Amino acid sequence: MVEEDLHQLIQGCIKQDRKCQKMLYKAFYGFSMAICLRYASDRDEAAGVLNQGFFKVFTKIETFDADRPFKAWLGRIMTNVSIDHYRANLKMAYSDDLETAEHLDDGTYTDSNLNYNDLLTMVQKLPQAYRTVFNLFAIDGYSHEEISDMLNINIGTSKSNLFKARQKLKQMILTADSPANDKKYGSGTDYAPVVAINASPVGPVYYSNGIRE
Amino acid sequence: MKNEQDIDKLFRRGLTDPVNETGFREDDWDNLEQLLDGNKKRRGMVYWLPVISSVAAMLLLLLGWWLFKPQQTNSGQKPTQMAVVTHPKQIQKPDTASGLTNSTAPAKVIAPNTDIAQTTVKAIKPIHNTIAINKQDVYADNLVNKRKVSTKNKTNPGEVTAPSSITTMPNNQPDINGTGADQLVAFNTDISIDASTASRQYISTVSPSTHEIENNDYAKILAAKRNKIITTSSIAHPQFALTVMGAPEINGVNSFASGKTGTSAGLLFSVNMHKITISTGIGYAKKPYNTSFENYHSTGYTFKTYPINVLADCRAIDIPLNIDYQVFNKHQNKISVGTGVSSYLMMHESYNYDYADPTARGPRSYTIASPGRYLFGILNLEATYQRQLNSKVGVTVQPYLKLPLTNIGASQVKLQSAGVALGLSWNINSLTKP
Repeated sequence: MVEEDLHQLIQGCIKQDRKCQKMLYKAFYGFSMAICLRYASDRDEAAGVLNQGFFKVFTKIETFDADRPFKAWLGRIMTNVSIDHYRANLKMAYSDDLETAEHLDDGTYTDSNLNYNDLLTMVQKLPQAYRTVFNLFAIDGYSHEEISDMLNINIGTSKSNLFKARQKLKQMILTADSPANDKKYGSGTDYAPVVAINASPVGPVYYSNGIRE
Repeated sequence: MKNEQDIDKLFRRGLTDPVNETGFREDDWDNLEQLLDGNKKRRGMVYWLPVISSVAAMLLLLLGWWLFKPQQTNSGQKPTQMAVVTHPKQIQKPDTASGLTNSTAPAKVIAPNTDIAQTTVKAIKPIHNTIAINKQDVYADNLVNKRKVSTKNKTNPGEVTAPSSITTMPNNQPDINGTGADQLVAFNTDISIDASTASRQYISTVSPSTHEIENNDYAKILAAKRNKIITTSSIAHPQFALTVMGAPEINGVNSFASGKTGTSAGLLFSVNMHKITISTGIGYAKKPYNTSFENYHSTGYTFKTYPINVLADCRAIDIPLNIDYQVFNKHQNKISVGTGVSSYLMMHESYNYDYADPTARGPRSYTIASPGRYLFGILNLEATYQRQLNSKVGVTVQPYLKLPLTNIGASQVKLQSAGVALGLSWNINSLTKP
């Protein structure tokens, strides 16, 4: 979107013009949804959080500094409402026992051919507490100190949740790369069989826990 | 370590740059529109709720006052029945026939000498008014004044040299009492048989006569009636009642300007004696409120970026102790006003922080681990309208206001509430039929 058009849309939104609001919503729907999706467990939940974010955008758009990039401002709002949603649903969050997943073999994950949908599905399968910390730390770049402030948890809890999130994701990657599960992540293509071999000791255990189902 | 970084890198690269962004759904926009429209409606309701509550409370109080006042005025205007002044020291009631059977008779001044009668009317009028205004009984000293005035205005002093008097007389009858031409007779339009009123009558006659015995009998009857009423009142038992109440209420800090609606429900036990009702019980209240961060006292945490607003969600057990005074009671309707104190036992306290900059980094919410207790921290003001459906069951409408006597909650705010409670009461011991 051209900068000038964006500025006009924002001005329209400041005047609570519904057409401008809808145009802005449509223009940044995909960008915002990409953030909300990785903090949520599914599309519907993400859509609810996204609307909460745009509700804040439209009610506080006069606070936006036009000299700063709109996308960054919008992205942080989406992150914040995702955290709010996490806090609001804290009772529903469950802690998962990782006893069976604490001793994973190290492997190389950067060369995995898992695509966006595969990775998103994995993150969404994380317990909410792990998913939130992993998103904040690994993807959005917050420090543990900042995360502890934002989530009102100890730094130790933040580190622990991050560790457990990584362990779970490793399990999922190894399982996904396993030949026995090559249909689970259907869009994933030519993954390396070496990874699948390494994953074989933990794959069945993880699968039997029902997490994938 | 490298393995962990690889994991992070894999997901960061894969998720921050989606090849195909999620497609727009019209339904999602419709939901947002509802959210935007609904917010306006909710704000409107929140804005009007305290106004509606206040108006309801004022109307109820005014209604009670208006209905109560005429009773007072009427009783005050009952000018004391009548009195006969003959001798300042002697006060007696005339015979029952003349006093009680003429309750509809207008006030009159009757004397054998019509000339005197006309003049004495003027003399008695101001006295009569004095009695009405002061709502006082006709005491001896007043009667002395009357006599002075009456005497002063007589056109024929010779005919009124005997002590003047004011006495009750049968309607439109001349002076058949035969007490002499010097009697000034005044009637009261309404001679109440209410013992409490009648007991205030101070009546005198001109001189001992054959009526005196009857008068003494009447006095005894009145005294007996009064004693009976007093006895009846003194043996009245307290009435116990249970009331289930629920209320929508609005909560705010320092004012209701940015109030939020909550709910409360509870069970009250009350004891009623005459016009006084003492009640206590237990209630559960959900008290969300929105306040400026200036009113919020942080619980030891130092904010790097100050929020502008704090949205609190408090749940408390409310233990009230109230006393109500009944200002109106007619037919099945009762209105009372009352006050008291409440203690809050906090069950849950959580705070959500709203930053001016929606991208601000800082805690978004905080939940108090051990909510506190605030004994007698709230002043209750209430007006209650109760309609008795039968001897056992009644319905109650109660506008109320809860004002802080102490700071409430971990955030130490002046939390106040207003609402209109609806209730159903049940008389445990039904003493009176409506």
